[in-house]
Order: sequence, then C-alpha cells, then structure tokens
Amino acid sequence: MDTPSLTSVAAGNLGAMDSCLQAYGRVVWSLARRALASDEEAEDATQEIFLEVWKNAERFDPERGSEKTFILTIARRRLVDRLRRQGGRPGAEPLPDGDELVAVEERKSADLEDEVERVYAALAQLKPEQKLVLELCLIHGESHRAIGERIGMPLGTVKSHARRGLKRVRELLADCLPMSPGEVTP
Amino acid sequence: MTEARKQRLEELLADRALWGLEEGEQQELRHLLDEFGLDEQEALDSWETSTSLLTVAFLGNREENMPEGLAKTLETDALKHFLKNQSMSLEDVSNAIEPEEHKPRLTAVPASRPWASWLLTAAAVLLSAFLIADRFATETLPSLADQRSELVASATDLLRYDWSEGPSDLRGQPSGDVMWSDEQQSGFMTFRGLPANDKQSTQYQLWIFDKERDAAKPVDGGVFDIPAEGGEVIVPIEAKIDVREAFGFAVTVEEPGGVVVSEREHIVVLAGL
Repeated sequence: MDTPSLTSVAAGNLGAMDSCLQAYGRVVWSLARRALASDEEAEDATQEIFLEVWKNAERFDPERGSEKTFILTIARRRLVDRLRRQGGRPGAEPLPDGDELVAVEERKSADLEDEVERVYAALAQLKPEQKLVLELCLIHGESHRAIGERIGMPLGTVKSHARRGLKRVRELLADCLPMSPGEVTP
Repeated sequence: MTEARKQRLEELLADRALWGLEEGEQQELRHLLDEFGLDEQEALDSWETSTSLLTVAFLGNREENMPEGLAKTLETDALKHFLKNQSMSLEDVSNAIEPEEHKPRLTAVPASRPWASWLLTAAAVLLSAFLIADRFATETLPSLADQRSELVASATDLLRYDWSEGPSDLRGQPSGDVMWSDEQQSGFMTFRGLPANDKQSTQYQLWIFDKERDAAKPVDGGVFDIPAEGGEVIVPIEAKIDVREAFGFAVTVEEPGGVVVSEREHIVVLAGL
C-alpha cells in the first residue's frame, strides 16, 4: 500500500475508510471478542473503536509505526477503559494451554512483516510465565486479579511478570517504538 | 532522578498500558512525568505501542471474520462520519463561493443573499449526495457468488475439486466444492449439508496442502462459520501465507479463532487428497 489508508482517511477519502475496515476490521473484532464477555459487547466496542480511529486518523504518523499498531493502540485503550468500567473481566475463557504459547513461537517462520517478526523474536526471549500473564491480559482482557486467581499466582507476582515482560520487549524493540525526547529509555 | 522513582514511573506506565490506572495512581503518574519532564501523551503512546505490538504477535493468525451485520454497521458508521465531515466542508465551500470581501456588493441585494446562499449550499449538498451515492455504487463489493464466478472466468490455473466426506463424526452430510487459483491467491469453498457450528465453542478451519511445503504443515486457509439457516454457503478462502502450488484441501473443526497446528481430530471434508 503506497499511501497509508489512514492518511487518506484523514484527507477525507471515503474509499480509504473502506480499505481500513477491510484491512483491520478482523483484527479489531478478534481482539474485542476475546477481551469482552459477549459478542454483543464486542460489536459495540468494535464500532466505538473505529469511530475513534476515524476521529484520530490525522494523528497517524507512518514514521512512528504501522497503521495496524496505531489502530490496535486505540483498540486496546478503548477495551481497557471498558474492562475497567466493568471492574475487570472474570476469567470466562479456558486458560490457554501450552500449545498456544508454543504456537506463538512457531509463527516466527511465517512470511510476516518485519515489525511483527521482530516482536515474535522478542517474545521468544520472555520467560513462559511472563508470556502467559501478558497473553491473558492483552488477548483475553483479564485483570491482574483474575489472572492471579486463574493461575494461582499472588497479585504482586502477576504484575511483576507483566511489567518485566513488557519492559524486556521494549528493550528488544527500542527502535520500533516512538520515544519522546528525554523519555525513560528501555 | 532516583533509580527507585524511575522504576516506579516505568511500573505505572506499564500498568497504564496493560490494565489502566486508578485515579490515585494516575495522579502519581502525572507527578512523576512532570518530575522527569516527560510529555504524558508521548510517554503513554510509546508504552501503548509496545502492548499493541505484543497484541499483534499474540493474536497471530487467529483473526476471525466479523459478523456480517457488524461489517455493514461499520460501513454505515464510516459513511455517517464521512458525511458529517463532508457537510462541514460544504459550509466552507459555501463560504468560499460567497467570500467576506464580496459582502458589500451583496448587501446591495440583501433579500437575495440568503436564498442564493441556501441554493448554493443545497446544490452542493445534492451534488455531494449524488457523488457519494455513485461512489458507493461503484465501491459496493459484488456478492460472493459473483466473486466466485469472476474467479472462474478469469483464472487460468483454476483448481477445482468436489468435497469428499472426512472421517469425523461431526461432518454431517457435506457436499460442494472448493476452487483455488495459485496465480490470484484466491479461492472459494461451497458447502451444503455441513452442520452449523456454535461459534462460541467451535469454528471450521481450512487447511491448504502446498506441494512446495511440508505436507505435515499445511497452510492455514482461515476460519469460518456455517450458519444455522442451511442451504448453500460460499466461503472465501483466506490463506494466511502464499500458497505456491496447492494440491489438496481439508476442513477441520477447531476452537474459535482456529489453531496454528491442527490435531486433525475432526476432519469433516477433504478435497484432492
């Protein structure tokens, strides 16, 4: 794609909005469906997310990251807000088994964009418990409390694994991330 | 900058990006950002980008199709948003047609100005509505049956097989076919008699066997649902990576969103194998 869809959306191109929905509708829906308790709620959230995407399209800067990451950042923000309003999602889905965590590493070999390949490589360097906690939070939308109850881990330990895992990923992907001058560097 | 306060700042930024913060923590974060002279939005963007990258990786190829109703709602929302912004720009157009410096001349015919302005705006709105309607007419996607016919007409390397029943007890009485073009990286499956799935607990997943890849690792052709209404169902194939030389197809029943490696416990239909 020569001109990013969001740049065209910001310029008022209706066709670009459609391209954007085609390209990213599935990933936003998949994330919302996994994070929220019902399909109905996931549909509401997906609508809300895309409205936010249209409103913020002009903030997208291709120099600072991909469109997908930009849209998922908006999606995650809205989902986190929703989950917090609900007081965190109870652990409704089955705990991902070892296969799913192995599967993340296996996907490294797929023909994926560089950025994502690098994230897979970074993920492979995390400890299993760090990956597990992060996946339950980011994909299944679980609160730290729900994760702790689900995997029998003290709350502080859950937070600690998540923070360390995220920090480690930031260290490994430092040049992919937008950094403000003087920011605490990874 | 004490190490402990820097560490606390990182903890709060991580927590904010992962779970959000309580009001008290939010205030603490703002104080620390001020203390270190950091821009709040840029710092949050940076940490949230990290979680988004991780989310992309965790989701991998487990993306699911949106419900059709939602897809249409999103298109309508997009159109509404577009029209809302369009009407704002039409005011600008109207203003441009009747610029400020021309006011003295227009005040000479005060009675006509509101009408002139209204007519110009109305004309612009009507023109815009026609243009949008035309644009949508040309952008409306053809039906899946039309897309399949188009593939049949245009592909010079079309592979087409009838489905045969797989060994799983979940297969029902399936029939239909699958067609695929390596050249176009596009294809369609047609089903009749494949049981409707409960998408809360299972989804169907297509696997494409590629002569140029290890047969033990077929290409993920995407997940799909069979609705309860029955009748013929056409499903577009969404290969997650390039298929160089397809030779066989299998559909399995998997968990919602599909799997990366199938246990092949429930193969419901096969083709070319």
